[in-house]
Amino acid sequence: MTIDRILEIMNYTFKMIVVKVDDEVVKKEQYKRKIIPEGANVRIIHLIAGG
Amino acid sequence: MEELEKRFFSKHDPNILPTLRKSVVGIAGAGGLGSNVAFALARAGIGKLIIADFDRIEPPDLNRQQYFIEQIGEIKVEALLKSLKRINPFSNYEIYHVKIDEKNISDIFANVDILVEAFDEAEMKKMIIECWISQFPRKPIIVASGLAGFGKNEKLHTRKIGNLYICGDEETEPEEGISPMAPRVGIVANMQANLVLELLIKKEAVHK
Repeated sequence: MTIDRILEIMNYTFKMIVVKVDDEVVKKEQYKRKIIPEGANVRIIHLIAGG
Repeated sequence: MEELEKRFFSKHDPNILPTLRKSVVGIAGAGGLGSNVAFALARAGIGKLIIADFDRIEPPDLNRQQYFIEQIGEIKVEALLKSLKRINPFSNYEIYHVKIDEKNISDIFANVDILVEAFDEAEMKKMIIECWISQFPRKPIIVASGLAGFGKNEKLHTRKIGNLYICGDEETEPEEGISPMAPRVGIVANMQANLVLELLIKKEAVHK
């Protein structure tokens, strides 16, 4: 299971996101390639502009 | 001055003041969030603030940023420094008139205990989170996400994901051409500042 696949399944179309797998940040270039280990804690954080 | 310093801190909680006095907090951005965070933390007595921003003060900024009419045209971090020294001259302030990016983030903020993200653009928020978590995974970063508009106090919250903290409602984006407003920006900025205090005191308690 890759990040790209997870985003597809969740229907996540937001562009400004940060992806964390366990304690690591996964950058956009890795979304297609990085395989998520079984049972990993995946957090997808959508960032909202403003400040 | 010494007498004034004593009196300035006379009503600060003596159980937590030493921790705050020796802490170093970074503020990335000196706009709506950053200027408000800086004011709050200076008043709270944080020992050192490191603040970076590339911009100058313009009239529409005054609707939410802690600047004054006579400062229009000035470099934000320079104007902010002057104000902070008028509030609390007993702390140290380091200012950087730069645009923060992957390359200079560790030069500027490597020695902070906690980093506060205070940018406007979502791209910058993303960049700094990714850089910070990769380079300093054990140092907290407090970001703001979703603070535009007015009202809806009940939607503003703090979420923790490891050492990443998010303050805001995580949904309200500013409308095209319309800035966030002082009250809501102020609340979120102060949630960030309040969380800074909480994390600093908690960390000290753990090490005792």
